[in-house]
Amino acid sequence: MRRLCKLWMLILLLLSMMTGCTQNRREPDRLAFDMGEGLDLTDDGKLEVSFQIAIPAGLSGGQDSGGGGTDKSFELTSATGINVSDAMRNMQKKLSRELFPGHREVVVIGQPLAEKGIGHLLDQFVRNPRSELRSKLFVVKDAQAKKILSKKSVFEPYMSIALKRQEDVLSLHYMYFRDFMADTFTEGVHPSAPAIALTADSKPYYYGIAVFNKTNGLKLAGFLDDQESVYTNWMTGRQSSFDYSLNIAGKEHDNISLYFTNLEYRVHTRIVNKQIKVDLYLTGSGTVAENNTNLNPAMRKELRLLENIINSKIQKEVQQLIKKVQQQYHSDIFRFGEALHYQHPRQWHKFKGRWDNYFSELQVSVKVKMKCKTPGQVTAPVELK
Amino acid sequence: MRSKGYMVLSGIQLFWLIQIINWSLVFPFIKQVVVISKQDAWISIALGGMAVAVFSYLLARLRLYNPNQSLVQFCQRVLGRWFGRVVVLPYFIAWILICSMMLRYSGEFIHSTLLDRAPEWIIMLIIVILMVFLTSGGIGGIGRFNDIVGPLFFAVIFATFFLNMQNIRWGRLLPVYYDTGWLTIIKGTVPHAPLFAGGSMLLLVLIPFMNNEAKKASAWSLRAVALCSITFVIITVLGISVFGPSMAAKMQDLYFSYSRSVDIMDFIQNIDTFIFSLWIFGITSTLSIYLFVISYETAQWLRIEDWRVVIWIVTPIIFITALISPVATIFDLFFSLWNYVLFPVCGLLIPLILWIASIIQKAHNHQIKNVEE
Repeated sequence: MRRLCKLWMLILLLLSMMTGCTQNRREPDRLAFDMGEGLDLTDDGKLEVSFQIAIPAGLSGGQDSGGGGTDKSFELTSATGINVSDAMRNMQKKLSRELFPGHREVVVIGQPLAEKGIGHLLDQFVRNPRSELRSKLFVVKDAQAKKILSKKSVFEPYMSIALKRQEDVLSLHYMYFRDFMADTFTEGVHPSAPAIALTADSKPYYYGIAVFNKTNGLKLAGFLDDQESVYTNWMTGRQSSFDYSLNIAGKEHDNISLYFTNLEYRVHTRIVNKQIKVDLYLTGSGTVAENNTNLNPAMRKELRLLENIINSKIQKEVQQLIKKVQQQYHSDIFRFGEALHYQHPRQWHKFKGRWDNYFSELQVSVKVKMKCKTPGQVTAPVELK
Repeated sequence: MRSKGYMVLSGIQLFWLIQIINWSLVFPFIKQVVVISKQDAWISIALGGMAVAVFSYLLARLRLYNPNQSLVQFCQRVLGRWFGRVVVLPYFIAWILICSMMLRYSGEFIHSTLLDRAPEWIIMLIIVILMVFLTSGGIGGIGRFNDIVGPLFFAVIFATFFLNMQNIRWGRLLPVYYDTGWLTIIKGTVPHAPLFAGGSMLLLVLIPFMNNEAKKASAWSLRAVALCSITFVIITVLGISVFGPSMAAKMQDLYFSYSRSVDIMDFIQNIDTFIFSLWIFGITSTLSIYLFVISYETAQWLRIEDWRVVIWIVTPIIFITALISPVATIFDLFFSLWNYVLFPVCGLLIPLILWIASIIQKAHNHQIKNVEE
């Protein structure tokens, strides 16, 4: 018992020492919460990191209550440096609270920097123990990242959260920074990330996909637009539904819109006479959302006709997309190399080193089989004849 | 041998004890297997687990030749007074090293993730104080502690299995086997199995405290190793399918990073804090077990009546070794020492000698008996 008392005394003594020397105080009112980071290249070629820092007072205030001290919900602070940590340190000089990256929602990369290559910037995001593994990655088309982060969102207090919710609405799977890195280190895959652009009146919108090429320094190879990225996401399992509108029989007023769900894909690779052949199967089921054609989706025959038109159109567009990426970007973002690796692990070593060359000349046959399952609430088209 | 109430270990306590040692000691180093056998790391770990299961079973059986004496007494009886004492020395080295290495690792880990402004020695000192406190309660006290922490630890680990489902891409585990081949897969067991088996080596000391449950020790340790291997395999599979083999190999602690990537509906996040606190419990328990084992056997070796006195000699040695060992680079050194020297000697060679000697002795005793009759 006496021994126990002595031990407790010692522990208490040590605990009292602890309070003095640790200074590990991390009360929320001493921290600057970093909601999003923007990486940019300045005009004179330096790395500039922008931090979107939450202002809690601006959050609680709101518009009608007027109780908050400020109407701004965030402050965008930028600093240059030789790397991310250095910029962070330089930025800290401008802030009276310690920067806390644990709530970082997004990492946004500006086009100039992405074109120069981001291969040398990856380390910090996973090394720093206080860094966040749940940050999502975006690339900005034709602008600096800080331009996006400085915009006010309509609904969300921060642009970083708005970017994330935009992906939710479009039923896209997040591209986490760690996923991007995992793709970078996987054989037979080139990474890609969602792209944001600014409209003419400088409002951010979801543009499509930024294609990277990791062969030398992880550089931006180009962008894919909205429809192309739907197909790309579909082929890589990153999207579960999409809206599709098309003209039928070339007439302007004969158009139909569908909402496709249950998107499935299957990549089958074959090696025939040392030639690689890829068969891509795309399936899904759709609901008619708007029908301005003479076709009645409730009629079996007309439905088949409709499905055939849609299938051949999608098939053609996917073929074109694959050709475009093969010839312009030379980056296998469709994960065909990965599929070949998994399906022919014994032969993979023959192609591994020169996969980019093989990818550019790959023969891909696309088969699309979409089904219109529900015609919507009306059957025959509602139209004034 | 002093046998008061607090020096008794029950079967289920042994089960949790082995479990906790392995969770807190081996989990942080699973990543080293991924470095070698990439996406097939889980096969390496499963193979290693099977080997360790056999190893633990045999070790427990060996100990049951003489379940009532301490390890030092057992060695002396089987191998003679002088040689028996020498043979135990490698165990002291192994245990002191593993203890200081773990202390250093946990100090560093807590320092880097939680208390980055506290000096490391203070963090380590606090762990040491906890460890001394727990050890002074005897093995029974540690056993009770494990009774509480073990199921809690397991519940949290079990829960994390299901929390990352939306981040999993099973494709990252492919292709199975072809990229690595058997040789690499077996090489992958090297950084894992010896450390894993290190926990089972404690059976040599702990079985005498199990009194009437000693006979079941081999069954309990087998169950513990089996459950542990299953959790290791599951975590490796999940970790690789979340991060991909090449990223997983770059992580410092695969399981911790795995738990940090959990994000369900923006609501269930940061579960790493639970794991972190339980891991600190686990580390405290693990270090106390080692400290107990070293102190108790040293007391036997030096023929000191009260083993608790030895705690005050052993603890500073562990603390100072941990303090002076160079940061970060020590682990490589420790692992090559443990995998290629200490484990083969303490885990395989000495038990083998003991086993052969025990059989010979038994046969000899039998003969004498027959002659006398």
